[in-house]
Amino acid sequence: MKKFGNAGFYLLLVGIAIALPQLLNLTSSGKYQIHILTLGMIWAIAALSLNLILGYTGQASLAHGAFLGIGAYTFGILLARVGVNFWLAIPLACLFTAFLGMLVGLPSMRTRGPYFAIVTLCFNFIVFKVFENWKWLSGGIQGQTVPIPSYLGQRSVRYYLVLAFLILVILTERQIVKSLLGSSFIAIRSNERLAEAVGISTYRYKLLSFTVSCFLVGLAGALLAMENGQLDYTVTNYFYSFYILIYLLIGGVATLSGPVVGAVGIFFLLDRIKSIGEFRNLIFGLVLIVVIIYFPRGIVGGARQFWDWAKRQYAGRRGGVLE
Amino acid sequence: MSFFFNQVIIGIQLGSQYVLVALGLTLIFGILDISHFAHGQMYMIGAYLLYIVMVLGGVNYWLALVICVAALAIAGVLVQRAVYRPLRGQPHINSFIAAIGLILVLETLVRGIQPNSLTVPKPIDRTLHFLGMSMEVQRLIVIIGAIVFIILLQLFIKRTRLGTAIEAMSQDREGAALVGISVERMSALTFAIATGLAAVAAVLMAPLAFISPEMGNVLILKAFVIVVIGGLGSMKGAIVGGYILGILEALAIAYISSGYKDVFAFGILIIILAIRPTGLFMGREQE
Amino acid sequence: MTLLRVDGLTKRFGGLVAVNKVDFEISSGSITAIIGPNGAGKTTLFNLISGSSTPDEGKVILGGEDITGWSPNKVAREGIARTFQTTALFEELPAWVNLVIGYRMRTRSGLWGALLHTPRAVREKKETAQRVTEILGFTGLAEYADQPAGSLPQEAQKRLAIGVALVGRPKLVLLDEPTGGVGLAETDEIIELIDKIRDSGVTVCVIEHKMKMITNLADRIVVFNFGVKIAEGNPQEVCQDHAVIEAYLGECLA
Repeated sequence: MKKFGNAGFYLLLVGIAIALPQLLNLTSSGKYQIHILTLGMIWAIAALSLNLILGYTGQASLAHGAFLGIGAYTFGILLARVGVNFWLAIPLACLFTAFLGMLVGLPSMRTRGPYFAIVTLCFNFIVFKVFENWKWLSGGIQGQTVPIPSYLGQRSVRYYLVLAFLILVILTERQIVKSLLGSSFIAIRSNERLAEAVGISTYRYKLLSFTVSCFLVGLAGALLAMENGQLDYTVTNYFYSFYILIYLLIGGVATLSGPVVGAVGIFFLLDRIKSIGEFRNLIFGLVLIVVIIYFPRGIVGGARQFWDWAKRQYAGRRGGVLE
Repeated sequence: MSFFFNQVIIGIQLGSQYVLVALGLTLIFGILDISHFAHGQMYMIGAYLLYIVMVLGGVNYWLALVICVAALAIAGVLVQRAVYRPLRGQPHINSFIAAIGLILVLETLVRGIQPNSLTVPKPIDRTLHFLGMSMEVQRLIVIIGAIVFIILLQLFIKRTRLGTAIEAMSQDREGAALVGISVERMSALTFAIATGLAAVAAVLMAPLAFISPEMGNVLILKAFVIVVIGGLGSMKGAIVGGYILGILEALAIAYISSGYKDVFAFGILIIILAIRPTGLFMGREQE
Repeated sequence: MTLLRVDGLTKRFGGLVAVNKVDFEISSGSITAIIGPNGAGKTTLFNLISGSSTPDEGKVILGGEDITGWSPNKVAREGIARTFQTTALFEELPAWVNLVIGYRMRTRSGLWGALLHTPRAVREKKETAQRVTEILGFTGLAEYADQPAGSLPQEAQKRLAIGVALVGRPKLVLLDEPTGGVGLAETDEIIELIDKIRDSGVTVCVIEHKMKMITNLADRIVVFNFGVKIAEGNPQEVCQDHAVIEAYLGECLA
């Protein structure tokens, strides 16, 4: 699955990621960039979570915006209103989001393809409306403040925390994908009917994939709450489901680096062109259409195709001797 | 009691919109197997077009109706050519994603040009009083207009050659192609009809509410709900489902609460799909 | 010994009776051929046995256990594997991964195994790899192991589909036209493969059109027409049956 199967390359990337805040901290605008990169990484975690269910099990969920918000609010409420310790609140938020995901999945997993997408979108819509109207839960217009421990007050500290989680999520997903469990998921994406015929309980595995996916996006939600320090009902907006999907697709679905590249890259770029405000959605839309028609494998997928093509060209010139 | 009937009639009016949009969606989703999520945005554009033609252009409402339907039918074909045709043969999820892209493009475009809510005057601004109820004439126009177009559609499908070709395609696309039916032309025609119907719904409905860039969003979700519950590809299911949803919603708004009114439809969807993943009526089989 | 028994099996689609009160038995270790004109209900029969379709009436009994109406994945785990008329594979995945997936139902490691590298997960991976290599050899597909299944030549794809059915150690394989669209030389290879399958102890049931192949291969033949069983017996008996000759254009080389 990995073309650049080169541990050294990845260690270098991690090294750069670790060094980055130190460099950015030196400039005043740099400090803000740290915040942007942290947010980008959080969206990367969200994109990775969607990748598990879309890229590897083949189900397009449009509810991940809702689960992101649910994870964020669970975390926020646990911290602010229940007084749970920060380090306990994170796994609890993840577990609760996963549990809710499982409940949603139980009836939904029998549906396929676009039906499943519609059902999840409807669920997202319902959640959004509930949060919008139920002031006690969402805190209304003022929203919910998220009190984080003082040692996380510094941006670069939070950056490193999120980076650590991102690496953890990447490794987790990699483990799953390379395992026998992963083969069940891929089978379902590739040919669900055949997977069923060779003894794979597609319902159970789709449900498991969805539940794990919700666990991960719940993590993204909790980290989002931490980073922003403040929540309101818009965090459950179904538009976020679209955004996560877009980051994933543009970056490259069914790859491990794709979601990261897509989320961090786009989020970063978007921040640069913040001035165009609403029109970002227009560009998103156009890019999405162009990508899905001409580059369905996204940046990373396209890069790999290009790399393979280049290798073949080069091999041809050298008379078939590669390396 | 008359209040109840009042609400039922409003429900039928609401349902009329749903039916027109859901029928279009049934044609596209059920026959062409394309998840054309952006259908709601086409509806929204229909309403804005009405504003432009009628308020800015000073054209009579009924003439504007014809113009909007024609224009939107063409727009529908353009959308099919530009966005969905290149994706033919690819997994469904791809056209679905393209539809999301379309939603973003269309809605942002409109919002960028005219973000404010607009209104359109009613052609006949009167209220009828009968049987102890008072009903705005426009609502009756919606109901009657919808029935007219539903009947026209049925006649088209059953009595004309093109219509029969579409029906054939809905039952067996490969077989239809084998007997010489041009899938390409039928796809364009289907989009034209569906988008035209959306225009009818928009024009009929516009005088009764505000025109805003978001107006298509919730409507399209409900239309999908209707199509899925009614059974894919089943026009009967779309019709019955649309009216039932409209009536139930109107009653819910009146007797329960209006904040959660939209949630209603989706809750029903989830429950029904949980019990019968293939919808209530027999349409095309879900793969 | 009877491995599979089908009792009064009936399936209707609207007004059409695709399979009409069908009874027959398959003995353990044999090769049974199911023949009949197109549309006779043969594939529907396979669908009913394998669980893709639920019968309206009748029973399917595997080794004494009533498996009627079981879901396909349950039937597969119970020991019935099948191939499809239009070759079904995980096309974009390499051939060996196809086989890994076929064996997946015999392994139990799940999420924890994946995340924690449990001893069971490691053991099952090794076991899978061994079995996959075994089947690659058995079906003669070793040279194609790394190529995407969809890129293999047609007859290799057919062999791979058979391999995917075999890798999970089934008791019975249902092969739906395993030589469909395959040339003469390759047909013989597949016949050899089917023989090998029977010799390895797996019971085979084949839907086929090519009479010569069937008469040489099958121990028993069941003949269908319009959803009804019109004859059953060994190749000699069947070829001389009047109903068969009438229905099937009488071309029988016994």
